[in-house]
Amino acid sequence: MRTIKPYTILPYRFMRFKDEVLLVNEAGDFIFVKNTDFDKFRKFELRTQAETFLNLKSKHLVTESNLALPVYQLATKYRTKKSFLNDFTALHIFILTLRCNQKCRYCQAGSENETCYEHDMDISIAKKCVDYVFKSPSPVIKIEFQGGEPLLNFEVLKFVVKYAKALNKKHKKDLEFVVCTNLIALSDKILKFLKKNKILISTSLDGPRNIHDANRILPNGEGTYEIVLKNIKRAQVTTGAQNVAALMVTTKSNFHNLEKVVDEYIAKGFDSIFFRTLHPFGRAARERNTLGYDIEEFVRNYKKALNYIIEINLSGKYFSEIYATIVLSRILTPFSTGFVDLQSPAGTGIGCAVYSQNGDVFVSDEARMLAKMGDLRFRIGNVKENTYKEIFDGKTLREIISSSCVETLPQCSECAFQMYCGADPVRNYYAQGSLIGHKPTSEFHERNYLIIKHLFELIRQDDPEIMNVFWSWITNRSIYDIKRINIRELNEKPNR
Amino acid sequence: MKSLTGEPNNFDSVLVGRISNKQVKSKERKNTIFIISNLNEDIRGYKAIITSVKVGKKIPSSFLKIPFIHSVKDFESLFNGDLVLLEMHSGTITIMFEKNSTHNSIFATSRCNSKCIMCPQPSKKDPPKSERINLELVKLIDKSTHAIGITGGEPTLGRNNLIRLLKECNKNMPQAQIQLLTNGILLKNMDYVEEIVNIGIDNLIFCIPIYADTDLEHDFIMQRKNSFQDTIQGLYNLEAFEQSIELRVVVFSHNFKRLPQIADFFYHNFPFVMHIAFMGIELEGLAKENRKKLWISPLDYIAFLEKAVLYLSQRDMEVSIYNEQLCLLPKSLWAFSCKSISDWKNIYIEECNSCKMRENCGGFFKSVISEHRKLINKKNCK
Repeated sequence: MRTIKPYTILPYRFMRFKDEVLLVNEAGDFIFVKNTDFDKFRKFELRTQAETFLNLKSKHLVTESNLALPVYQLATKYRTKKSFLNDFTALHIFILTLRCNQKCRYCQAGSENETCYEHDMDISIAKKCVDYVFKSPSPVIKIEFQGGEPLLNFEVLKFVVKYAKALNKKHKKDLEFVVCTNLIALSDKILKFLKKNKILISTSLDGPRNIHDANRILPNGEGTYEIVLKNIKRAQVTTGAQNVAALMVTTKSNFHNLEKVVDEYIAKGFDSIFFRTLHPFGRAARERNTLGYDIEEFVRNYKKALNYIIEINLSGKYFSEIYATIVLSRILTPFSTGFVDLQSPAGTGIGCAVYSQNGDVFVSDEARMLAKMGDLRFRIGNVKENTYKEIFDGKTLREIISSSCVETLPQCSECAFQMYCGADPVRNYYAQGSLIGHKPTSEFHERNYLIIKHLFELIRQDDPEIMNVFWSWITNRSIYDIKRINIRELNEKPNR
Repeated sequence: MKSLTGEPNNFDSVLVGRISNKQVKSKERKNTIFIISNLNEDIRGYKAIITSVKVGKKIPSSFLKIPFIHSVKDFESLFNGDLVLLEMHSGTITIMFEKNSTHNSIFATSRCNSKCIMCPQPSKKDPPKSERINLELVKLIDKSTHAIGITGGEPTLGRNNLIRLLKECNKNMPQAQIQLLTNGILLKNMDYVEEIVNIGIDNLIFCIPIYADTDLEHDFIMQRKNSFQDTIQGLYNLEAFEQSIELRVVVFSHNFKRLPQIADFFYHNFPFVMHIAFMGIELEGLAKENRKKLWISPLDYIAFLEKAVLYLSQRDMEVSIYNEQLCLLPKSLWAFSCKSISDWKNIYIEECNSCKMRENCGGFFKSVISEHRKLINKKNCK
């Protein structure tokens, strides 16, 4: 027998958390409700005057009245969350050279000997690459120099900066430069140029000396800790501490000691850290047994370190973990984030493009590494051989993008975390043999699932102090700032 | 608005002018209403004359050709530079613009398209010539004015009237912040929004009330079907033109328990707004009639208000509290409290005289004083 339903349920995904259920609407707004209320809700037994009903209605999960309005608002919010798509490629990575002056044990960049000059990008290719960068419609353009060690091809770096700035006089984009360098080759001349052109420095620091020197070594086997720290200090003093960031790679050598790594970062004047997992490429793939770890174990250590960082923030010191900050922004704010590894469709090519030293264009650095291993699957063209349209509107990129929408991927399509997560077709391809991948055995999936679930558990507990820490990361203010706002002296605020 | 009365001579007109109790240059006289204490003053060329002097049946002949109100009491509320409206048939002098106030408003119309259950100024017909008077008023307002409100009624109701008024404001005080207090319902029409935007006002802010996070509750409070939907459409239209918006929530018995959810609804649906204000209720008009149903003691809603305000502030949203008294707010909310009550409605009670924070406190609406007397005592004072 058909009965008239008292309300309309709008599309949602859900996940159980002990005695509560997480419900997420189509635009990523979420709410926790008691199991008993959830059962009433799905059986159409919830009273429309009940507070829970109003809460669900406010979150656009249900309506007993106007249907057009919540659908319209969901659409508006969905567009906001997906607004990264409006602008197309913003991040442009230049592989200035494959040469490197270090020989890190986990190198995943496919570096070559320091003297093999044939692996440098030349000026004519660099010029062509910059021309293509400015064909991107994005109002924000970020050029990131990578390698090898990009400072080893400093003349071309200088050329790219000058040429891009010259072109930008016409294009008037928000233009930014980053150099990812181990800082070994840093000279006063280079430092002066970086400072003058406001080029951000992103370097590598794996932790205290014993951890850092376990993997980040010179070709002769010596550790690099000392020289790196000396040059970090120089760079901080010259360009300002806020313009120097560091990255670390989690390996077997440091992942039981992430707290020590955090201490090292704080002691050396950094205010954030990014716990990055090892990518199974190049040397890292060959040394997997000695460096690698299992994802569950990584996440266990990650959680422990995250708690440690939260405690540090609670004591008044601002220090953030970047991956958690990105995920929290995706969960807690109505905005889109620019991080290319967590997008749907994936940021490959449309958020980020990699220009190799020989002019080949790849959708990501992993794609470039695959090519190095002989598989050109994700090479979308070459700046000397192809037009911009052929590269960025070609069959290959279209296929990658249309296979990387979590909304349509098996298992992702029904996952409550869908709006907060993303797809990595390149990784799916090399690890699992297809762009689509296989979720139950995917490390990318496992890591994201476990981390997002952990963060949601903390959000569910709703400890006001911890939530203040999370918002201090998202809004880039210290917890002291967030709290001071609450007790700000009256006379500091003008009367309206 | 404050008003005074006196005895008019037999002009039958409505006029606006600028108050002066001193002689002004002859070219300024045609817009000046001259206050005299001595009937022998030179009154040639003035727009009108007012005086506290009682004039008998023998009006001096020079006063016969000029609008003239005598026997006016309470002159102390009039200051040089204030703009007043004279209704000559009744001898009423209404202060339309106070030079020394930051809370001046122009009432674009008294009509409204909704009937909010707590409305302090229910809809009524406009007096004749009100449009013309408003335009004249704007022409006389000091160019250096920092802020002016356009209110009502619902100011968007007479579209041509509002456009003309905004253009005149923009022409006469291009520096001023113009605060348009509207329910946003008619702004669901994109072409109306576009027409306002095209005036090109530098500093225009749309102050729009939303009373609930769900449609039926908001529509009930507004006493108008679909007003929630229409206002939200209006907000999205304004956002499409990147306009400045302030959302306003009047806190009262119908919505105080959902203030945290309302804050959450705002953040997730209207993160683009410039400012959010939570406002204590004013017990005038319909609110006065329904006071038993609508009044809720601040002591009962403060916890919800605190949660909502801190929720938004944590998210880096600009948020303020209007019309509340510091002694009733927890210290965590003091930084958000603004002096927001129009000068002519704002008072303090005896207990406030010795209060150190009085200068920073919002004070009271005259209309809520009896309720607040019960709450504020030495014990509460901080």
